[in-house]
Amino acid sequence: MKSTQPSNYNALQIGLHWLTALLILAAFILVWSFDNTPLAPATFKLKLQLIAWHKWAGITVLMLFALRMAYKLVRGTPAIDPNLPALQRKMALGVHHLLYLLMLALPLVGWLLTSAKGYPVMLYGIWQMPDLISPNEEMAHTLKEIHEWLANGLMLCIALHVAGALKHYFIDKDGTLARMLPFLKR
Amino acid sequence: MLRSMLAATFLFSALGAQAAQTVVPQKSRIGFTFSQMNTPADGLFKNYTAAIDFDPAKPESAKAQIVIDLASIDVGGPDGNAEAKKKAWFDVASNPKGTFTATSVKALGGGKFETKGKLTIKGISRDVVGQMSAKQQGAELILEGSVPLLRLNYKLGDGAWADTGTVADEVTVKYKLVLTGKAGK
Ligand code: HEM
Repeated sequence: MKSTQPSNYNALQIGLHWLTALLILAAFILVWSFDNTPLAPATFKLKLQLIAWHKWAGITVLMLFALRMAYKLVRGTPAIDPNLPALQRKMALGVHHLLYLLMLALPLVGWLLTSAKGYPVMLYGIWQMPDLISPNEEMAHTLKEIHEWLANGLMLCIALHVAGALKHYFIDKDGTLARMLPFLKR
Repeated sequence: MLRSMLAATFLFSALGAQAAQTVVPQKSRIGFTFSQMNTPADGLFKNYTAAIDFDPAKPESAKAQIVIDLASIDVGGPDGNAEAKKKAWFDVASNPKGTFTATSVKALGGGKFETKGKLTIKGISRDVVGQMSAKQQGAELILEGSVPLLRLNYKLGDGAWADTGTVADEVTVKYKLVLTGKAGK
Protein backbone atom coordinates (compact mmCIF):
# COMPACT_ATOMS: atom_id res chain seq x y z
CA MET A 1 0.00 0.00 0.00
CA LYS A 2 1.06 3.61 -0.54
CA SER A 3 3.06 5.15 2.27
CA THR A 4 1.45 8.56 1.82
CA GLN A 5 -2.33 8.49 2.04
CA PRO A 6 -4.34 10.88 -0.11
CA SER A 7 -6.54 13.33 1.74
CA ASN A 8 -9.63 12.61 -0.36
CA TYR A 9 -11.34 10.14 -2.68
CA ASN A 10 -10.86 11.24 -6.27
CA ALA A 11 -13.48 11.20 -9.02
CA LEU A 12 -12.54 7.70 -10.20
CA GLN A 13 -12.82 6.25 -6.68
CA ILE A 14 -16.14 8.00 -6.09
CA GLY A 15 -17.43 6.79 -9.45
CA LEU A 16 -16.42 3.19 -8.76
CA HIS A 17 -18.01 3.34 -5.30
CA TRP A 18 -21.41 4.48 -6.54
CA LEU A 19 -21.40 2.29 -9.62
CA THR A 20 -20.75 -0.73 -7.39
CA ALA A 21 -23.51 0.37 -5.00
CA LEU A 22 -25.95 0.65 -7.89
CA LEU A 23 -25.01 -2.75 -9.29
CA ILE A 24 -25.35 -4.46 -5.91
CA LEU A 25 -28.80 -2.92 -5.51
CA ALA A 26 -29.66 -4.06 -9.03
CA ALA A 27 -28.43 -7.61 -8.28
CA PHE A 28 -30.80 -7.81 -5.28
CA ILE A 29 -33.79 -6.39 -7.12
CA LEU A 30 -33.19 -8.63 -10.15
CA VAL A 31 -32.99 -11.84 -8.15
CA TRP A 32 -36.07 -10.94 -6.10
CA SER A 33 -37.99 -10.31 -9.33
CA PHE A 34 -36.64 -13.61 -10.67
CA ASP A 35 -37.99 -15.41 -7.59
CA ASN A 36 -41.39 -13.80 -8.11
CA THR A 37 -41.62 -14.62 -11.81
CA PRO A 38 -43.44 -17.88 -12.42
CA LEU A 39 -41.86 -20.63 -14.48
CA ALA A 40 -44.57 -20.56 -17.14
CA PRO A 41 -44.40 -20.27 -20.93
CA ALA A 42 -45.51 -16.64 -20.93
CA THR A 43 -42.93 -15.46 -18.40
CA PHE A 44 -40.08 -17.90 -18.91
CA LYS A 45 -38.10 -15.63 -21.21
CA LEU A 46 -38.34 -12.81 -18.70
CA LYS A 47 -37.29 -15.15 -15.89
CA LEU A 48 -34.21 -16.25 -17.84
CA GLN A 49 -33.41 -12.64 -18.63
CA LEU A 50 -33.71 -11.57 -14.98
CA ILE A 51 -31.32 -14.23 -13.70
CA ALA A 52 -28.90 -13.53 -16.55
CA TRP A 53 -28.90 -9.83 -15.64
CA HIS A 54 -28.41 -10.77 -11.99
CA LYS A 55 -25.26 -12.66 -12.96
CA TRP A 56 -24.01 -9.84 -15.18
CA ALA A 57 -24.51 -7.28 -12.41
CA GLY A 58 -22.73 -9.56 -9.91
CA ILE A 59 -19.80 -10.34 -12.19
CA THR A 60 -19.44 -6.64 -12.95
CA VAL A 61 -19.27 -5.99 -9.19
CA LEU A 62 -16.43 -8.53 -9.06
CA MET A 63 -14.58 -6.83 -11.91
CA LEU A 64 -15.05 -3.39 -10.37
CA PHE A 65 -13.81 -4.79 -7.06
CA ALA A 66 -10.58 -5.92 -8.75
CA LEU A 67 -10.21 -2.48 -10.34
CA ARG A 68 -10.81 -0.70 -7.03
CA MET A 69 -8.30 -2.87 -5.19
CA ALA A 70 -5.67 -2.31 -7.85
CA TYR A 71 -6.27 1.43 -7.77
CA LYS A 72 -6.24 1.42 -3.96
CA LEU A 73 -2.74 -0.07 -4.15
CA VAL A 74 -1.64 2.62 -6.56
CA ARG A 75 -3.24 5.72 -5.09
CA GLY A 76 -4.38 4.67 -1.64
CA THR A 77 -7.56 5.79 0.10
CA PRO A 78 -7.92 8.58 2.64
CA ALA A 79 -7.69 7.68 6.33
CA ILE A 80 -10.84 7.65 8.45
CA ASP A 81 -11.25 11.06 10.15
CA PRO A 82 -8.56 10.92 12.92
CA ASN A 83 -10.69 13.14 15.20
CA LEU A 84 -13.18 10.30 15.65
CA PRO A 85 -13.02 8.02 18.71
CA ALA A 86 -10.83 4.96 18.14
CA LEU A 87 -13.73 2.52 18.47
CA GLN A 88 -15.76 4.27 15.79
CA ARG A 89 -12.77 4.30 13.45
CA LYS A 90 -12.25 0.60 14.07
CA MET A 91 -15.90 -0.14 13.39
CA ALA A 92 -15.95 1.88 10.18
CA LEU A 93 -12.79 0.20 8.92
CA GLY A 94 -14.06 -3.22 9.97
CA VAL A 95 -17.25 -2.77 7.97
CA HIS A 96 -15.24 -1.52 4.97
CA HIS A 97 -13.12 -4.64 5.08
CA LEU A 98 -16.16 -6.88 5.39
CA LEU A 99 -17.71 -5.13 2.40
CA TYR A 100 -14.56 -5.70 0.36
CA LEU A 101 -14.51 -9.35 1.40
CA LEU A 102 -18.14 -9.83 0.39
CA MET A 103 -17.75 -8.01 -2.93
CA LEU A 104 -15.14 -10.65 -3.72
CA ALA A 105 -16.68 -13.75 -2.12
CA LEU A 106 -20.36 -13.30 -3.01
CA PRO A 107 -19.94 -13.04 -6.80
CA LEU A 108 -17.34 -15.82 -6.74
CA VAL A 109 -19.73 -18.13 -4.90
CA GLY A 110 -22.44 -17.10 -7.39
CA TRP A 111 -20.14 -18.09 -10.23
CA LEU A 112 -19.36 -21.43 -8.53
CA LEU A 113 -23.07 -21.95 -7.91
CA THR A 114 -24.11 -21.41 -11.49
CA SER A 115 -21.27 -23.69 -12.68
CA ALA A 116 -22.45 -26.40 -10.28
CA LYS A 117 -25.98 -26.02 -11.61
CA GLY A 118 -24.72 -26.55 -15.15
CA TYR A 119 -25.68 -23.05 -16.27
CA PRO A 120 -22.64 -21.13 -17.47
CA VAL A 121 -22.63 -17.35 -17.47
CA MET A 122 -22.95 -15.75 -20.89
CA LEU A 123 -21.56 -12.40 -19.80
CA TYR A 124 -23.49 -9.49 -21.38
CA GLY A 125 -24.93 -12.07 -23.77
CA ILE A 126 -21.68 -12.30 -25.71
CA TRP A 127 -18.95 -14.03 -23.74
CA GLN A 128 -19.35 -17.44 -22.20
CA MET A 129 -17.36 -17.52 -19.00
CA PRO A 130 -15.51 -20.72 -18.09
CA ASP A 131 -17.11 -23.06 -15.56
CA LEU A 132 -15.27 -23.08 -12.26
CA ILE A 133 -16.48 -26.56 -11.31
CA SER A 134 -18.38 -29.33 -13.09
CA PRO A 135 -22.14 -29.80 -12.58
CA ASN A 136 -22.97 -31.33 -9.22
CA GLU A 137 -26.42 -31.15 -7.69
CA GLU A 138 -25.43 -31.43 -4.03
CA MET A 139 -22.64 -28.92 -4.44
CA ALA A 140 -25.06 -26.54 -6.15
CA HIS A 141 -27.42 -26.82 -3.21
CA THR A 142 -24.70 -26.08 -0.65
CA LEU A 143 -23.33 -23.19 -2.71
CA LYS A 144 -26.80 -21.71 -3.04
CA GLU A 145 -27.11 -21.76 0.74
CA ILE A 146 -23.70 -20.07 1.11
CA HIS A 147 -24.59 -17.52 -1.56
CA GLU A 148 -27.77 -16.69 0.30
CA TRP A 149 -25.95 -16.29 3.61
CA LEU A 150 -23.27 -14.10 2.12
CA ALA A 151 -25.98 -12.00 0.46
CA ASN A 152 -27.70 -11.59 3.84
CA GLY A 153 -24.33 -10.65 5.33
CA LEU A 154 -23.77 -8.11 2.59
CA MET A 155 -27.19 -6.60 3.20
CA LEU A 156 -26.37 -6.29 6.91
CA CYS A 157 -22.99 -4.68 6.20
CA ILE A 158 -24.55 -2.25 3.75
CA ALA A 159 -27.15 -1.35 6.37
CA LEU A 160 -24.41 -0.65 8.95
CA HIS A 161 -22.36 1.26 6.37
CA VAL A 162 -25.32 3.45 5.38
CA ALA A 163 -26.39 3.94 9.00
CA GLY A 164 -22.86 5.14 9.83
CA ALA A 165 -22.81 7.54 6.89
CA LEU A 166 -26.19 8.98 7.86
CA LYS A 167 -25.16 9.31 11.50
CA HIS A 168 -22.15 11.39 10.43
CA TYR A 169 -24.28 13.57 8.23
CA PHE A 170 -27.33 14.14 10.44
CA ILE A 171 -26.05 13.67 14.01
CA ASP A 172 -22.33 14.47 13.98
CA LYS A 173 -22.79 16.92 11.11
CA ASP A 174 -19.21 16.25 9.98
CA GLY A 175 -17.72 15.96 6.49
CA THR A 176 -17.60 12.16 6.24
CA LEU A 177 -20.48 11.65 3.82
CA ALA A 178 -19.31 14.57 1.67
CA ARG A 179 -16.09 12.65 0.99
CA MET A 180 -18.16 10.26 -1.13
CA LEU A 181 -20.76 12.86 -2.17
CA PRO A 182 -18.74 16.05 -2.80
CA PHE A 183 -21.85 18.13 -3.58
CA LEU A 184 -22.81 17.80 0.11
CA LYS A 185 -19.73 19.75 1.21
CA ARG A 186 -20.72 22.53 3.55
CA MET B 1 -47.36 -65.13 -30.35
CA LEU B 2 -44.64 -64.00 -32.71
CA ARG B 3 -44.56 -60.75 -30.86
CA SER B 4 -44.04 -62.30 -27.47
CA MET B 5 -41.37 -64.55 -28.90
CA LEU B 6 -39.60 -61.55 -30.30
CA ALA B 7 -39.95 -59.80 -26.98
CA ALA B 8 -38.56 -62.82 -25.19
CA THR B 9 -35.63 -63.05 -27.59
CA PHE B 10 -34.97 -59.40 -27.15
CA LEU B 11 -35.13 -59.58 -23.40
CA PHE B 12 -32.85 -62.57 -23.45
CA SER B 13 -30.23 -60.87 -25.58
CA ALA B 14 -30.45 -57.73 -23.47
CA LEU B 15 -29.96 -59.71 -20.29
CA GLY B 16 -27.17 -61.65 -21.96
CA ALA B 17 -25.44 -58.40 -22.77
CA GLN B 18 -25.78 -57.22 -19.23
CA ALA B 19 -24.17 -60.39 -18.01
CA ALA B 20 -21.24 -59.81 -20.35
CA GLN B 21 -20.51 -56.19 -19.48
CA THR B 22 -21.72 -54.12 -16.59
CA VAL B 23 -22.04 -50.39 -16.32
CA VAL B 24 -20.31 -48.76 -13.35
CA PRO B 25 -22.99 -46.27 -12.31
CA GLN B 26 -20.75 -44.09 -10.13
CA LYS B 27 -18.50 -43.35 -13.08
CA SER B 28 -21.16 -43.14 -15.78
CA ARG B 29 -23.41 -40.28 -16.72
CA ILE B 30 -26.24 -39.75 -19.14
CA GLY B 31 -26.72 -36.05 -19.58
CA PHE B 32 -27.73 -33.55 -22.19
CA THR B 33 -26.97 -30.02 -23.18
CA PHE B 34 -29.58 -27.60 -24.38
CA SER B 35 -29.69 -23.90 -24.94
CA GLN B 36 -31.85 -21.23 -23.35
CA MET B 37 -31.72 -17.82 -24.98
CA ASN B 38 -28.47 -18.80 -26.66
CA THR B 39 -26.88 -19.75 -23.37
CA PRO B 40 -25.90 -23.39 -23.04
CA ALA B 41 -27.20 -25.38 -20.10
CA ASP B 42 -26.59 -28.84 -18.84
CA GLY B 43 -28.90 -31.50 -17.39
CA LEU B 44 -28.86 -35.20 -16.67
CA PHE B 45 -30.89 -38.30 -15.92
CA LYS B 46 -29.90 -39.84 -12.64
CA ASN B 47 -31.53 -43.24 -13.11
CA TYR B 48 -31.30 -45.53 -16.06
CA THR B 49 -30.45 -49.09 -16.86
CA ALA B 50 -28.05 -49.91 -19.66
CA ALA B 51 -27.49 -53.33 -21.16
CA ILE B 52 -24.49 -53.04 -23.40
CA ASP B 53 -22.37 -55.51 -25.26
CA PHE B 54 -19.63 -53.77 -27.14
CA ASP B 55 -16.23 -54.89 -28.31
CA PRO B 56 -14.34 -52.04 -30.05
CA ALA B 57 -12.73 -54.65 -32.32
CA LYS B 58 -16.16 -55.94 -33.41
CA PRO B 59 -18.45 -52.93 -33.54
CA GLU B 60 -20.81 -54.65 -36.00
CA SER B 61 -21.95 -57.07 -33.31
CA ALA B 62 -22.60 -54.36 -30.74
CA LYS B 63 -25.80 -54.43 -28.76
CA ALA B 64 -27.13 -51.70 -26.54
CA GLN B 65 -30.37 -50.97 -24.87
CA ILE B 66 -30.68 -48.06 -22.49
CA VAL B 67 -33.85 -47.44 -20.54
CA ILE B 68 -34.03 -44.05 -18.93
CA ASP B 69 -36.20 -43.19 -15.96
CA LEU B 70 -37.43 -39.83 -17.22
CA ALA B 71 -38.66 -38.73 -13.81
CA SER B 72 -35.03 -38.71 -12.66
CA ILE B 73 -34.35 -35.67 -14.82
CA ASP B 74 -32.26 -32.93 -13.26
CA VAL B 75 -32.03 -29.60 -15.02
CA GLY B 76 -30.39 -27.80 -12.11
CA GLY B 77 -33.20 -26.77 -9.80
CA PRO B 78 -36.42 -28.00 -8.20
CA ASP B 79 -38.71 -25.70 -10.20
CA GLY B 80 -37.21 -26.67 -13.52
CA ASN B 81 -37.25 -30.35 -12.58
CA ALA B 82 -40.92 -30.19 -11.66
CA GLU B 83 -41.76 -28.40 -14.91
CA ALA B 84 -39.78 -30.89 -17.03
CA LYS B 85 -41.92 -33.77 -15.72
CA LYS B 86 -45.20 -32.10 -16.65
CA LYS B 87 -47.39 -32.91 -19.60
CA ALA B 88 -45.92 -30.28 -21.93
CA TRP B 89 -42.41 -31.71 -21.52
CA PHE B 90 -41.71 -35.34 -20.64
CA ASP B 91 -45.18 -36.15 -19.34
CA VAL B 92 -43.68 -38.73 -17.02
CA ALA B 93 -47.07 -39.67 -15.61
CA SER B 94 -48.06 -41.26 -18.93
CA ASN B 95 -44.59 -42.04 -20.31
CA PRO B 96 -42.20 -42.78 -17.46
CA LYS B 97 -39.49 -44.35 -19.62
CA GLY B 98 -37.39 -43.31 -22.57
CA THR B 99 -35.53 -46.01 -24.49
CA PHE B 100 -32.59 -46.11 -26.80
CA THR B 101 -31.88 -49.23 -28.81
CA ALA B 102 -28.76 -49.37 -30.92
CA THR B 103 -29.24 -50.57 -34.48
CA SER B 104 -25.69 -50.30 -35.80
CA VAL B 105 -22.21 -49.20 -34.77
CA LYS B 106 -19.60 -48.47 -37.40
CA ALA B 107 -15.89 -47.88 -36.82
CA LEU B 108 -14.62 -44.53 -38.10
CA GLY B 109 -11.00 -45.17 -37.14
CA GLY B 110 -8.92 -43.76 -34.31
CA GLY B 111 -11.17 -45.18 -31.60
CA LYS B 112 -14.19 -43.31 -32.98
CA PHE B 113 -17.49 -44.83 -33.98
CA GLU B 114 -20.71 -43.83 -35.63
CA THR B 115 -23.72 -45.02 -33.65
CA LYS B 116 -27.20 -45.46 -35.01
CA GLY B 117 -30.25 -46.33 -33.05
CA LYS B 118 -33.86 -45.76 -32.24
CA LEU B 119 -34.79 -43.32 -29.53
CA THR B 120 -38.28 -43.46 -28.10
CA ILE B 121 -39.67 -40.72 -25.90
CA LYS B 122 -43.35 -39.95 -25.25
CA GLY B 123 -44.25 -42.87 -27.49
CA ILE B 124 -42.49 -41.30 -30.48
CA SER B 125 -39.66 -43.27 -32.08
CA ARG B 126 -37.01 -41.68 -34.24
CA ASP B 127 -33.77 -42.86 -35.76
CA VAL B 128 -30.82 -41.00 -34.31
CA VAL B 129 -27.19 -40.91 -35.36
CA GLY B 130 -24.35 -40.07 -33.02
CA GLN B 131 -20.64 -40.29 -32.49
CA MET B 132 -18.83 -42.26 -29.84
CA SER B 133 -15.29 -42.84 -28.71
CA ALA B 134 -14.10 -45.98 -26.94
CA LYS B 135 -11.10 -46.14 -24.68
CA GLN B 136 -9.83 -49.12 -22.74
CA GLN B 137 -8.42 -48.07 -19.38
CA GLY B 138 -7.20 -51.02 -17.38
CA ALA B 139 -10.20 -53.26 -16.80
CA GLU B 140 -12.62 -50.53 -17.84
CA LEU B 141 -13.97 -49.68 -21.24
CA ILE B 142 -14.98 -46.04 -21.40
CA LEU B 143 -17.58 -45.08 -23.97
CA GLU B 144 -18.15 -41.40 -24.46
CA GLY B 145 -20.42 -39.98 -27.07
CA SER B 146 -23.11 -37.61 -28.12
CA VAL B 147 -26.34 -37.82 -30.04
CA PRO B 148 -27.93 -34.67 -31.42
CA LEU B 149 -31.69 -34.49 -31.61
CA LEU B 150 -34.53 -32.05 -31.96
CA ARG B 151 -36.78 -31.78 -28.91
CA LEU B 152 -39.87 -30.85 -30.90
CA ASN B 153 -39.62 -34.12 -32.85
CA TYR B 154 -40.57 -35.80 -29.59
CA LYS B 155 -43.14 -33.16 -28.64
CA LEU B 156 -40.91 -32.06 -25.76
CA GLY B 157 -42.14 -28.64 -24.78
CA ASP B 158 -44.61 -28.32 -27.59
CA GLY B 159 -47.50 -25.89 -27.63
CA ALA B 160 -46.87 -22.89 -25.41
CA TRP B 161 -43.21 -23.85 -24.92
CA ALA B 162 -42.46 -24.34 -28.60
CA ASP B 163 -40.66 -21.00 -29.04
CA THR B 164 -37.16 -22.10 -30.00
CA GLY B 165 -35.78 -18.61 -29.39
CA THR B 166 -36.29 -19.27 -25.69
CA VAL B 167 -35.47 -22.98 -25.51
CA ALA B 168 -33.65 -24.11 -28.64
CA ASP B 169 -34.92 -27.09 -30.62
CA GLU B 170 -31.46 -28.66 -30.70
CA VAL B 171 -30.58 -30.84 -27.75
CA THR B 172 -27.47 -32.98 -27.53
CA VAL B 173 -27.47 -36.11 -25.45
CA LYS B 174 -24.02 -36.59 -23.95
CA TYR B 175 -23.09 -39.79 -22.24
CA LYS B 176 -20.19 -41.46 -20.58
CA LEU B 177 -20.58 -45.14 -19.87
CA VAL B 178 -17.89 -47.00 -18.00
CA LEU B 179 -18.10 -50.75 -18.56
CA THR B 180 -16.38 -53.63 -16.89
CA GLY B 181 -16.28 -57.23 -18.00
CA LYS B 182 -15.79 -58.84 -21.37
CA ALA B 183 -17.94 -58.27 -24.40
CA GLY B 184 -19.48 -61.05 -26.43
CA LYS B 185 -19.93 -64.67 -25.52
C1 HEM C 1 -23.22 -8.33 -5.88
C2 HEM C 1 -23.30 -9.56 -6.16
C3 HEM C 1 -24.46 -10.48 -5.85
C4 HEM C 1 -25.50 -10.34 -4.98
C5 HEM C 1 -25.78 -9.18 -4.03
C6 HEM C 1 -26.32 -11.53 -5.08
C7 HEM C 1 -27.46 -11.77 -4.34
C8 HEM C 1 -28.26 -12.89 -4.48
C9 HEM C 1 -29.43 -13.18 -3.69
C10 HEM C 1 -29.99 -12.30 -2.59
C11 HEM C 1 -29.96 -14.35 -4.14
C12 HEM C 1 -31.19 -15.07 -3.62
C13 HEM C 1 -30.76 -16.07 -2.62
C14 HEM C 1 -31.86 -17.01 -2.29
O1 HEM C 1 -32.83 -16.55 -1.70
O2 HEM C 1 -31.72 -18.18 -2.62
C15 HEM C 1 -29.12 -14.83 -5.22
C16 HEM C 1 -29.34 -15.98 -5.93
C17 HEM C 1 -28.56 -16.40 -7.00
N1 HEM C 1 -27.45 -15.76 -7.49
FE1 HEM C 1 -26.61 -14.09 -6.78
N2 HEM C 1 -25.77 -12.36 -6.05
C18 HEM C 1 -24.65 -11.76 -6.55
C19 HEM C 1 -23.81 -12.24 -7.53
C20 HEM C 1 -24.06 -13.37 -8.30
C21 HEM C 1 -23.23 -13.83 -9.38
C22 HEM C 1 -21.97 -13.16 -9.87
C23 HEM C 1 -23.82 -14.97 -9.88
C24 HEM C 1 -23.40 -15.87 -11.01
C25 HEM C 1 -22.47 -15.65 -11.86
C26 HEM C 1 -25.01 -15.20 -9.11
C27 HEM C 1 -25.87 -16.25 -9.32
C28 HEM C 1 -26.98 -16.52 -8.56
C29 HEM C 1 -27.84 -17.65 -8.77
C30 HEM C 1 -27.69 -18.73 -9.84
C31 HEM C 1 -28.83 -17.59 -7.78
C32 HEM C 1 -29.94 -18.61 -7.52
C33 HEM C 1 -31.13 -18.35 -8.30
C34 HEM C 1 -32.09 -19.50 -8.10
O3 HEM C 1 -31.96 -20.48 -8.82
O4 HEM C 1 -32.94 -19.39 -7.22
N3 HEM C 1 -25.12 -14.22 -8.16
N4 HEM C 1 -28.09 -13.91 -5.41
